[in-house]
Amino acid sequence: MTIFQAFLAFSLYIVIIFSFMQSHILLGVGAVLLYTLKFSAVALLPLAIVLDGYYGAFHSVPVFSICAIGWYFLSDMLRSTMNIVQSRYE
Amino acid sequence: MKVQSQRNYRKKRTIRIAIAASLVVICGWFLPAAFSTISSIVMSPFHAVNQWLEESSSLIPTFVRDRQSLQADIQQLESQLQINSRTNVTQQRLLLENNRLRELLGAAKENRIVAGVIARPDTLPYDFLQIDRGVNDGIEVGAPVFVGTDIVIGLVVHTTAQYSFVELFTTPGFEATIFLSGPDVVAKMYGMGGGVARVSLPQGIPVQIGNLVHVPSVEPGVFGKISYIENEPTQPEQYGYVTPNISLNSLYHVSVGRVSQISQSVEEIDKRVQEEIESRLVVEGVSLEVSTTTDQATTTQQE
Repeated sequence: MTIFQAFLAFSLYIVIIFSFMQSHILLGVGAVLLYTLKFSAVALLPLAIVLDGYYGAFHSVPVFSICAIGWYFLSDMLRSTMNIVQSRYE
Repeated sequence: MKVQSQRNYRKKRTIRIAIAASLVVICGWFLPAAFSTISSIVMSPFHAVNQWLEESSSLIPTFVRDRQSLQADIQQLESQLQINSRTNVTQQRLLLENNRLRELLGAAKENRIVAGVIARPDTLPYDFLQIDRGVNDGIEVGAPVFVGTDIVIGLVVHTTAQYSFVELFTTPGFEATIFLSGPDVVAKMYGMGGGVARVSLPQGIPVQIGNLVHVPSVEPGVFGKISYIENEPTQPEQYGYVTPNISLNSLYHVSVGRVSQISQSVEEIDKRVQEEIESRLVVEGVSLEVSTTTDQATTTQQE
């Protein structure tokens, strides 16, 4: 990972945090999509769990965490499928 | 073969991570307090920045907040506009119905004289209006002056052949008995000058901003709304400040009624207050189906 990529990842992560905290849901979803495409959705799992804990969502339904797990599963499955098609070993 | 094994490895890893995250979430479900505490500690720097964004008066947070509040204002105003347009239709329907019922009861239509406002408080001593109609046109001293259908703003105090002067209710020293809808009390209103009148009420009466101020001695007579309340618990009285619904500077035409529209007897005023209270229980839009059914039933019976 280059310095630029690290900076981009960090910036996107911060944008995701504040967009959800400021209720800019569309911006947050956009940033999550971009982050997933450029890097991986695995780093979003701890963030979602921490956000749910911060908002006290574990007392009812931890929506962020459930969505993040689902999104991680889906995105990684799609990514692995697409990698097979583009693989040079085929 | 290599590709297949890589794919399998990836799949397995994804499933393992998803299961691990699910387990953490389940743990969080069982220990919500512990998770909230840990999350609060982890999020404390972000929380501080978020608070800064929400409360600071610096340029960037102010810009973001202003934009958000303006958007919220626009949404609120749009919904208010929709509600108002519906209310307007309801008002028109009620006005037509009222006129029809008045005709049925044989109530004579009021004769009003339309007059143009030729001088206002900025050119006259404050709280006076000069209108371009006088005795020649049938204006009488003491006649009520209206804006629109039912907003009464003052009385004619002096008239000549060509023009007249109107003293507004907000003139200092002007007194009137009013009926305050909301708490439903009768009180005295005193003119304060500057387009403001004051209603004195004892402590404990639940006055609210927006309560309508009726002048029951004039038919029909609404003066305005309570726009400010001065209430100090240590004082025996509370004051509600009333302003007319229309700015005096925007007055262009007024209508002048007859002296006969001002009630002289206490019984008549009491009756109007009673009518105002009784009309509260009318619920809009519920009688239509019932009346239709009754009509149908009557028709069937007749057949």
